[in-house]
Amino acid sequence: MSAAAPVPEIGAGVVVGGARRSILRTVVRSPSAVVGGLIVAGFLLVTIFAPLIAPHDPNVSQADGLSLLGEPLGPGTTGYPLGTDAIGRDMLSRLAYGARVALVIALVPNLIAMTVATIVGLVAGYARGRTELVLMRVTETVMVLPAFLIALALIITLGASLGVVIVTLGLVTWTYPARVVYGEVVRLREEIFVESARAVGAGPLRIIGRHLLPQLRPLLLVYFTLNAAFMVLLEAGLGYLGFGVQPPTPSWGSMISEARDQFFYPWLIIEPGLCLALLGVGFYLLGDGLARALGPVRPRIRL
Amino acid sequence: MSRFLLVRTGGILVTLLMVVTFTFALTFAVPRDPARSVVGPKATDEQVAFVRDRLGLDDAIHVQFARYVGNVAQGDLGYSYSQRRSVTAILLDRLPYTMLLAVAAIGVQLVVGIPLGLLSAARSGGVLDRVGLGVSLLMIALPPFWVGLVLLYLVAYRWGLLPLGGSDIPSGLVLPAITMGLAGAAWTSRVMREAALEVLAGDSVRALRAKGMPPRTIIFKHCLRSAASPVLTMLAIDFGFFLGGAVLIESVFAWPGLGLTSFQAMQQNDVPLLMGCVIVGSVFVLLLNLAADAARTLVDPRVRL
Repeated sequence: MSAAAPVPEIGAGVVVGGARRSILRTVVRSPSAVVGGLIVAGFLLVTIFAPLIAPHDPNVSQADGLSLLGEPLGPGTTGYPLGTDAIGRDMLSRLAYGARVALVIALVPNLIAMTVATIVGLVAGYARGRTELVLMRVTETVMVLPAFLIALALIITLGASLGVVIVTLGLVTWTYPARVVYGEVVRLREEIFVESARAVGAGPLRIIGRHLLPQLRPLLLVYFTLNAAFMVLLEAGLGYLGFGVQPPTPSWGSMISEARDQFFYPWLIIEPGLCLALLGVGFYLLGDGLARALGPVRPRIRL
Repeated sequence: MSRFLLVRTGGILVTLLMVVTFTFALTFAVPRDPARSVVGPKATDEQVAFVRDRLGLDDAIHVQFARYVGNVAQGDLGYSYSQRRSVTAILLDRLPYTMLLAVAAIGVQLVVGIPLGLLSAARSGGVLDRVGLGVSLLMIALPPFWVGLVLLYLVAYRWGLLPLGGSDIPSGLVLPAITMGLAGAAWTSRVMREAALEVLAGDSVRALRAKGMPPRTIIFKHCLRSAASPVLTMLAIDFGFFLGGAVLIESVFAWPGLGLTSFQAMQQNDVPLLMGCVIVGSVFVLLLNLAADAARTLVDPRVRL
């Protein structure tokens, strides 16, 4: 990765960092990252155009949505390309709107987690001394706790709603990136450019904001992408137990949950699962491609 | 080593105190009168008042907290509303099931993950390696509970080979153990592959090759031993999580361990039982983390504590 100073692009009117451009180039060269990026972009489009893609209202049982015996319609039925669910709602519409939930969950709690991680990592790394010790001890402590159980305990106490789920997911996933940010700051704080900034009289806020933060951007991007995949998995798990985003809002996890004893109609379980898998693979491939541009980083989470 | 144990035990106690504070705060935050939960909805106000007094719910908050910490330290995790028994007794009943499942799952993870990782490394860049990486990526991205449901559908429902759920041993154990083990095996094989590749690229392997040692021996003797440290660490930590109760997998297969217990506790709003599960789960994770660090020093002489 080139450590070149920001170069103004002629005619563009914006300053593009050399580091960021080289990441983009690496991603484009890595086929897996391209595939991952395309998958994620595809889901983004589905999210934006969900009302156009969905042939029916996702939350309304259709008049002809069940067979004469009262059974859901299988995939391939005219009017219902992916079939209907147990109460006659269109699966394609529900899956398309479910993509909205999935992406909101992948992005918003993730943003919370990465913000907390950045602040904790930067402050701990830059402050040194007692602040450093206390912050990192707390981080390591939270990191080893069983995240999924803690999330469940929080949600059951505060009540399952979109807001609570979002905050909870953010709160149980900030630790690993925080430690990575911290490690990077510890390395950077010894660099000459930090010292020279201090020598010309820059205060801690200016050094953190203008000199350290920009260096962390590629790293944060990788963790944001990989974390997104975890978020989707975590919410699916919560949804499966009935403590995720609440019905009738269609979330892929809660769709699987509703169908968990409907083995007569396997598509009810398989379709949302495949969506989860595809989005997860997309984020992983993209994150992996980004990570390869920066060196090996691979966190994991347990469900 | 003994200094290390002392420091780490102290750290674990501090962490546990944090966990207990957290569960205490959550118990407090639940907008529901614990005394009412104990006596049930039909009890008279006098009965509720009596239980409130017995439980000390009208004491100052720091008094209640001190009592709670004291009770937990003595192994008393409170009283379950839904089962009308001591939480500790319930968890002790369920623990053997979770242990059995955890051991079986780790077994699957070892047997599948390590050979796959070694094979991938030995054929790095080849077809086998690519297929292995693709499959492990898929296993990582798939929600394990969904894999469990699909296995349940195919193996138990469609083909009728195994029971649909429950705790019959051994047949009821097979699917949950495979489901849990496979997700872990995907990570294990990746860690194993990376560690083995690092060893293969090193000077010692070049020296062994020059000496005329066959590749097979190099892979099995040297790679395996040098890569053991990260893999062991990972397995120990996974084991801790499995022991804490895999809520999702146990719910899918109705396996009556700690995970299913916490799910049932949640469904019935049984706060003391859920908090008991959180505390016990955290204890396992912390202990196995400690064990992982200790094991690393034994396997890898380069690691000093």
